[in-house]
Amino acid sequence: MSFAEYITALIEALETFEPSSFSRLKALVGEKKARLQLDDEVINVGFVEGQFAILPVDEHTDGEGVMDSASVVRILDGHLEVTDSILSGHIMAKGTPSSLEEILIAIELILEASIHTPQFRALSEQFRSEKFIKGTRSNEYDITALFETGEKELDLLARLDLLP
Amino acid sequence: MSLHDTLQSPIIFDPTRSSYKDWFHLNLIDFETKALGIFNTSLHGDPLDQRSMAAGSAFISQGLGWIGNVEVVSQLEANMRPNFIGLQHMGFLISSTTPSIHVGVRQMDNRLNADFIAKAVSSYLSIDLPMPFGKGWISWRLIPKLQPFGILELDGKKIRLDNRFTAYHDHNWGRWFWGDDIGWEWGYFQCKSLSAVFARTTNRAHSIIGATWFSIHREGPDLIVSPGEIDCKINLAPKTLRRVPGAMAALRQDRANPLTPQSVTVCGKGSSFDLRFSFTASDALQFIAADPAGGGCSFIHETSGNVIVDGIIGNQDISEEGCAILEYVN
Repeated sequence: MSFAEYITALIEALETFEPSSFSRLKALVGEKKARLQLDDEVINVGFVEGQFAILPVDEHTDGEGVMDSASVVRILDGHLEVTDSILSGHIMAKGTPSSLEEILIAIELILEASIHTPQFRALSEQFRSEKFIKGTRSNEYDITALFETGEKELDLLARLDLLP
Repeated sequence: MSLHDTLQSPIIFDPTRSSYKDWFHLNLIDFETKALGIFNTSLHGDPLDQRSMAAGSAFISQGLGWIGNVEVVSQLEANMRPNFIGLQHMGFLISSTTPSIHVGVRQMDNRLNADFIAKAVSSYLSIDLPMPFGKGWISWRLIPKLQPFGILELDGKKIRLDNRFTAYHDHNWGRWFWGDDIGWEWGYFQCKSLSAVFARTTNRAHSIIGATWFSIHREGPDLIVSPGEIDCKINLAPKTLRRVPGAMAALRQDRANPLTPQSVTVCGKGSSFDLRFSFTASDALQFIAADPAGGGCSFIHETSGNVIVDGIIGNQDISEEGCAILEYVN
């Protein structure tokens, strides 16, 4: 499946199995458009007359997200945290602060819906399987050790009473 | 001995079916390399609800992080029999004819494969009574010691389990929603001549302690410690760790550096024994259990490490080292 087909299947599953989440997504996004890039594949997406659509890539967009398959597989396998993938530049998001906030809320909304939607998990498994066949591997070892919380960070979090 | 253990599926008129949980669990321990394995298959939610989940997880820790993965499918897609849960990459069978557990794993990336039978060599303990657990209840059965036979394959390297590894099994089931005000602490300590199982239910903050279990197993009769003679101290510290499934980890960034057990001491006394198990953590792993019906999440932290036991049994001084796994759920 192409990236466009994955995104379309994801949103269709949301509309079919989690219609309330789909409505919230539509209300959140409104007329805004986003450019998404996975490896070399670039798509523009948005809602046109209430329907999700893949749009021409030369259209203006309000925000942009760029990621690579290897990072997505590592995230799905629990080898890479989303925060770390952003800090290390494996996932990039561009746009105004409000557009970025909307993109992140949209992702959260889809992730939350995935708890109740087996079709999402099947799509995730298919993605991992296809990328594995193409040679994309998860990390050899758990790389979270690279991002161990430092003493200074812990001190700061303790002072702000933000430790879990 | 026979097992006669099966999934405890809810009857059709059970009004609490949506909170149904059922869990087959097995640990492998190797003294030589300090390798520790976790193999689980579990069911979450009403079996007839397409949102319900069947999950399988297989992980090995060798002190360098965890190799392995978790898979989650709809229960309707899983292959289930009264004593078997089969998923795409994993199967877990409890055999009643020979008291044993059969586990097969074929993970997509081929980094962890397994095919083994673990035969029960210790008594089979059953705590079948529904114990209060949040708004629901939990029951469990355990086999403290099994002898595994078969193959574990790690990164292409085949390891024969026969006469080298030891195993532990439990089966728990009940009614609760992940994300409720629930938690538990569980530990399995395996030393050379004895092993011990510690478990207690808690609320989510671990400030209220419920039913507590502590049993010590060796050649001869099991030593069951009465709840009033158990003393447990758990020291927690923030830990950066691997979290699965990754999609749920992405959703729950607030739990990326959770407090997990760094050192644990469990002491138990009886008329003929006085033992102290001291656990020091190495690798930790977080399972994020999202409830398909309740919508909340609980966080299951598995921590491998070393254990030292010292004390006395009868007139015999005990001082041994071993491997252990500790589970901390909140």
